[in-house]
Amino acid sequence: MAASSSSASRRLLRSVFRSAVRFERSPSVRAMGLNVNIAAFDLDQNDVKGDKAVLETGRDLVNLFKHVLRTRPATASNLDKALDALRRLNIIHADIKERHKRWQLREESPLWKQQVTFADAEEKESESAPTPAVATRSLPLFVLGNCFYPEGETWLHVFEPRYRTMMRDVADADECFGHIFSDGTGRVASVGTLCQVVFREVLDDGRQAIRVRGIGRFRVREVLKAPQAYTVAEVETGIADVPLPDTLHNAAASAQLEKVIFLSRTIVLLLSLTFTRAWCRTRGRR
Amino acid sequence: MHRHEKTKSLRVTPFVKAHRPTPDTLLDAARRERFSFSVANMVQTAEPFESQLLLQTRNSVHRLQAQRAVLTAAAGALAKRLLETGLLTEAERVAIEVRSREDDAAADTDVLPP
Repeated sequence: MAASSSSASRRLLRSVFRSAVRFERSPSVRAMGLNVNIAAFDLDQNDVKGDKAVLETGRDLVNLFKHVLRTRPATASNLDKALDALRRLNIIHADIKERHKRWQLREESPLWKQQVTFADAEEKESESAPTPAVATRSLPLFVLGNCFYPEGETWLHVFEPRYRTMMRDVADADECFGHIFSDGTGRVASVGTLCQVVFREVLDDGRQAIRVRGIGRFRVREVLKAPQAYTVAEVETGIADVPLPDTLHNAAASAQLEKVIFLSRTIVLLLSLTFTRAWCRTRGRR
Repeated sequence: MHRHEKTKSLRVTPFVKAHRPTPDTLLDAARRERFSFSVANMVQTAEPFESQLLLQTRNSVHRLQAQRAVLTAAAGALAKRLLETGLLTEAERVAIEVRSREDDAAADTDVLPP
């Protein structure tokens, strides 16, 4: 029983650390679309001070991380709470302070302090501005747990019967549909991406491989009670950024642009170098 | 090799190249918005809720600030890791930073091994 309990506590702690690593990875590794092992957390058995206490604390930590992972925007104060819990267990990894700094860096952006708005919620748009919507239309919605932006292309694998039907209807219309985020509770976000199908391959079993391009944003006005199996909404298209009020802000935004360009290229250059060398190593070249 | 193959799509996209700032279009708000979204698509940033915040905000400065923070953390973490593993020297890291600041219209430095 004791061995089982000890094993369970270790599993719990490992799951906590996996959550921590995943949590920490989001600004760095996931931003690059790579799987790089930043750190492997090897738990020393000496860290486990009494299985029962560890189990209870472990559960608390798991729940805490689940809470942090589910609630956005993530804040440094949330991570502080998690770190306090880790400190109590005396199992802080050596570089945890550095990771904390990276989170504080992220906190500099006011965007992370905002909340995701959903279509069924009362409209509370703090950035409302006199940007008239170009048009209103009904739009079939492809509801997913992730986001896609305008000015990009991506592949969609359409396998659910309702979405196969939707894509056939889309092909018969103007090839446009909405890509929209859902948090898994049935709610859809208030803002999504207007997509256009640029390539379609229908497989023998009816599944479809679709290449789509993001061509703009839309705001959901009302989710319609349509007869179709898929979701249809009345939306406003042509949602644009708020014009910056004066030249000072324009200058600030431009500086940010340059910085983003610079950073993007740094990463690309670093990755290019890494892959080149890794590739050479696999072939015994220098 | 399989792991390396998964990263082949990671490169500066045509959308980013098309909307990159030039002296003539530096203050073009529409271009800036398109650029920020094309960068967001390229880096596939973070968690879904964070991605949605990038999409729903109508403040381009906020979006760019957030992207800058993510990319700063990413570049720092990657450089540190490469230095630790010996794939990169400090001199090379500095050279890459300098090279990144240069305006390279071709932007073909993301070509991976053949």
